[in-house]
Amino acid sequence: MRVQVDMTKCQAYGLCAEEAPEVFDLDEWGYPVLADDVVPAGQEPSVRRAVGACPAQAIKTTD
Amino acid sequence: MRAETVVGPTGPTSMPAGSRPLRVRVWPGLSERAALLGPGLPWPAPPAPGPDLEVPDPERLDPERLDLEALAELAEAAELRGRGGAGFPFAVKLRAVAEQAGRTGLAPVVVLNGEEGEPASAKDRVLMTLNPGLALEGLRLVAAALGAETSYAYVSDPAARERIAAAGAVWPGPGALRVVAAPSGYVSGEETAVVRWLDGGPAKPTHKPPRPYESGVAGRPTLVGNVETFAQLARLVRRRTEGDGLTVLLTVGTDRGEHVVVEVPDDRTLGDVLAWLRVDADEVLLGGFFGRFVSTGTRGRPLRELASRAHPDVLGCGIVLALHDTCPVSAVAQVLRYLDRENAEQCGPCFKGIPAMAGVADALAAGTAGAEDVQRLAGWGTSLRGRGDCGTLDAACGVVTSLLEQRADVVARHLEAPCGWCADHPERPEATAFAVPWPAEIKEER
Repeated sequence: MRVQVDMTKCQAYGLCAEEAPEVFDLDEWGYPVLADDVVPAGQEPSVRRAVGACPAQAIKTTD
Repeated sequence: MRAETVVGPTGPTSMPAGSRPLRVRVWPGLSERAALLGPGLPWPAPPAPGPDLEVPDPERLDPERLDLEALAELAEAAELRGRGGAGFPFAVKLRAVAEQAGRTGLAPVVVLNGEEGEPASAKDRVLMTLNPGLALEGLRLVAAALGAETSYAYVSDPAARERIAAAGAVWPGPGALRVVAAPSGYVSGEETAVVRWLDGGPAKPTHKPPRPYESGVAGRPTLVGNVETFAQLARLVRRRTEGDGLTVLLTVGTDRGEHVVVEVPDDRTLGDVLAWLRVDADEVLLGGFFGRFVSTGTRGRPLRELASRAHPDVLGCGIVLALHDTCPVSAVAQVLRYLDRENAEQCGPCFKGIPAMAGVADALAAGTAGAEDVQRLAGWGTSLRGRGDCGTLDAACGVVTSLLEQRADVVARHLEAPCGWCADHPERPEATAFAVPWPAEIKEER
């Protein structure tokens, strides 16, 4: 699974980092930083939760 | 088909009072046949090969039945890259749009992008003004090769748009040409901003993917290309002669308000150009506000190499900004303030990160920054790169990193006290002080 954040939509709610802290880190302004767009094995469920939790609907995944 | 001119916002078409003419010069010895800023081609060019059409393989390059692969091979052999700043290989772009059209069955869209958002650049407006038919010939060849049904010319400057629309009145097809009034602005020439505007939205970039080649205007595979790139392609196809390589259009400016648009063979070096124009400034920002301070070695490199991205100092959209007086720390602070004002206010890392970097650059110029501030600046210059959805944040990171890495000695001195120039300019000038005054009277010097 791959993940990307549409930065034109992201509003720095930070829920992605709560749902999937192993995948989403937050910068000093609260915007997510992805170490890698490939989701580490086993992290898929938490990334799906992050996609559902994002109020800005800014997170997209592809298989 | 006739061109349809879409009337939109208009701007001033008369020269500001007291402005100097904009000089245009072609490298001595560059043959008239080879120059984009030369006498031009018959437009539209006749379909059958004639004395003006010395092409290696005329059958395959006849615009009436143009072979896409022949066009791609020609662009590839000449190493033609986009001249809008990104330097992307044109043949790759062309094939990507064709493949996507084949996959989806959708007729592609081709866009001549004449929105020259970089304030220190004027080469595209000069080219559209002096030789609009050459740019349209390139657009037409690409549209024909791709089987496009609609072509657009997206131009903000009213005078240049009039020239394109007038030449477009005899658009021979394929399909229709629509000449569209673009909004002017630093981000409005970015390719996804172009697509968004043509689809009725604001001229602001969108998230990638999808890129325009995948899904562009009305969801169709779309090729957005810079004016000079199309003109270079037209010249390659129509005027190819032995020994004529590609040329490069440059806008050479100084912080003393001198500007000249030049055309130079791409095997000449940056140093050759500066010597020819008698520009003897120690400091040169190459690539404009998306630029880097050039190292001494860069001056000895051929323009072809600087256009290829093989070297870290890249030509970008061809701006050579020579700083006689302005301190590089101040120049970076000025550029960052400009980018802070001109960004699309869409991506947080950009609209938060640029003012943060600008604040430190301002403090550095004022002599009030400490080593830890410079460390934070260096961190942002690296960590923020690639985190916006267009190039604006990368432009900011680029000038910051260039200053810190290539002018480390100047930065270190500002930790002690501001330099003479910075001390004398506590109210720093706007970065638009580096802009080419426009509209301008074009003065061709032969």
